[in-house]
Amino acid sequence: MKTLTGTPTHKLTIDKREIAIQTISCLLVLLFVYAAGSKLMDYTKFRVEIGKSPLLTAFAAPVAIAVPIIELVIALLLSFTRTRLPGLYASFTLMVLFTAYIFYILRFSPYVPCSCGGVLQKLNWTTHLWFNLFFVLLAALGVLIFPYLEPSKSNKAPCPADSPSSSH
Amino acid sequence: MALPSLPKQSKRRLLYLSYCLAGSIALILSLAFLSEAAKNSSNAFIRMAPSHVAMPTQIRDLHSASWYLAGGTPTRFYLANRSAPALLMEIGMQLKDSTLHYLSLISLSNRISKSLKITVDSPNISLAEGVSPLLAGGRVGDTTLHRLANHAYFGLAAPLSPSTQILRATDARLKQNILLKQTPDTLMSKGPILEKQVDGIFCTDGYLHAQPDSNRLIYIYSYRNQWICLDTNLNIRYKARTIDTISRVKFSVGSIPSQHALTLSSPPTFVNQQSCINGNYLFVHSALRADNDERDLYEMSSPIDVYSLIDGKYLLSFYLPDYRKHKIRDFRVFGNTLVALYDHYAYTYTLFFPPKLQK
Repeated sequence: MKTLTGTPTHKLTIDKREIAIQTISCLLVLLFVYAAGSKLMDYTKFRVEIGKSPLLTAFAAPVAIAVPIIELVIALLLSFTRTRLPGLYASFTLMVLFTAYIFYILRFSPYVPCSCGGVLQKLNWTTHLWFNLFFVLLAALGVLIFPYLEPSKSNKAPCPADSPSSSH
Repeated sequence: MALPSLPKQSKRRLLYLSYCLAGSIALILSLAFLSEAAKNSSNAFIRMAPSHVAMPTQIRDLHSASWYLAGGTPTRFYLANRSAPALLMEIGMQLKDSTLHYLSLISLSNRISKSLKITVDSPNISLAEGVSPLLAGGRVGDTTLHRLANHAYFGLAAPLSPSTQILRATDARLKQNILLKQTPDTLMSKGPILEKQVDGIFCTDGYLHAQPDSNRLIYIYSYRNQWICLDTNLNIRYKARTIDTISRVKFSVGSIPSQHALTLSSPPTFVNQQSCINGNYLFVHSALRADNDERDLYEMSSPIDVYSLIDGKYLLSFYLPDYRKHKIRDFRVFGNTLVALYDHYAYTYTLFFPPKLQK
């Protein structure tokens, strides 16, 4: 790779990376919009179901409002290039939260309530765990391959360390 | 550093990601801690637990967790099967000999719902399924079940004789559960005996036990510390309380219009999980930890509280230890023997009550 025609191959990797980030963001946006949408479509059901959660009893009302709003805000962040990196961090955090929640419910809760919307409701809990882990890894990957500030025109892919310290 | 080859920004991003990871996990853990603390708060009651009340005797593998206790006598008991309603297993108290009976249900109905329950009051077998609704009866030995007259949909049924039953049904007008006495020709009620606290349906849920020989009916609520003793004509003899302090149902009820469903909108606080009666005693598997229950011990066993059916007074408690990490899922007392089901095992205990507490 390095020996022959450095520049074209390299250009290709940059493109691939951009495509990868776009794809990741798209998938996450789809996931969050779908999840928030299905919750809001039948909001009463969501609120009632979340009230049954042994972990959230005391905070059911604020959580029921906050979760779909946060999902939509993250989807918005992911949609614009300028806010995509914080969006990816936020997606990562939210997906870790969901995953840790599921893990706890599966392992320690006396019973398993379900407050997911739409198709996600049909997944069994283990599948759900893998599904979430996949998105956690996807978001982490997105963060790690995200181009650094001041995309270096000198074409050095694993970019040198000297860029200014950033807004994020 | 662990990742010397990565450039500085990469490292910083990994660091941020691990902050996010740690933060989310910490959030869930603190939620878990809070809910655990709420669960373990003091229940403000104590148990009296003399030692050696329940001595383990025999154990038997049933090879299936679908069996449930249908009834019995001091020498043998009967297991019915949730997934195969035509099976009835008769087992001697030594858990050695067993006989399998095949009930003939063909004449009854094509469609039998999951709520079907078989009760054996030796030698009578009765089958109750309140959704269709369907009542049927037969005898051990002649196992063809015949359909009985039935006038109502019901949630619970307790047979008094082959042709009379006590039913718990939902009154559409009062919007709550009521008790009914049904004979082949009549359906009788005595006003709202069950007391509505929240919605009338969930909040009055409980268990119904009939003891026709002693002219007794017991209704014990699942979500509050009360039970009622009635005679078999639905006249209240007395009302009594279990030892815990939850006198008001602790949950709220929500409706989901899109599914035309009424459901609990908060986790219910169970008070009385299971119960049975035998002789002059009521046995209750309580869901609450007493202040004098050792926490570790409580986690590994199920407390059974015993009350007198003569006056409703609390007598004593004992603990049934978990078997292979399974909690008891069903139990009954026949004579001096307690039969408990743990997952797919049957376990018998011999009961010895201190002479002063015998009724």
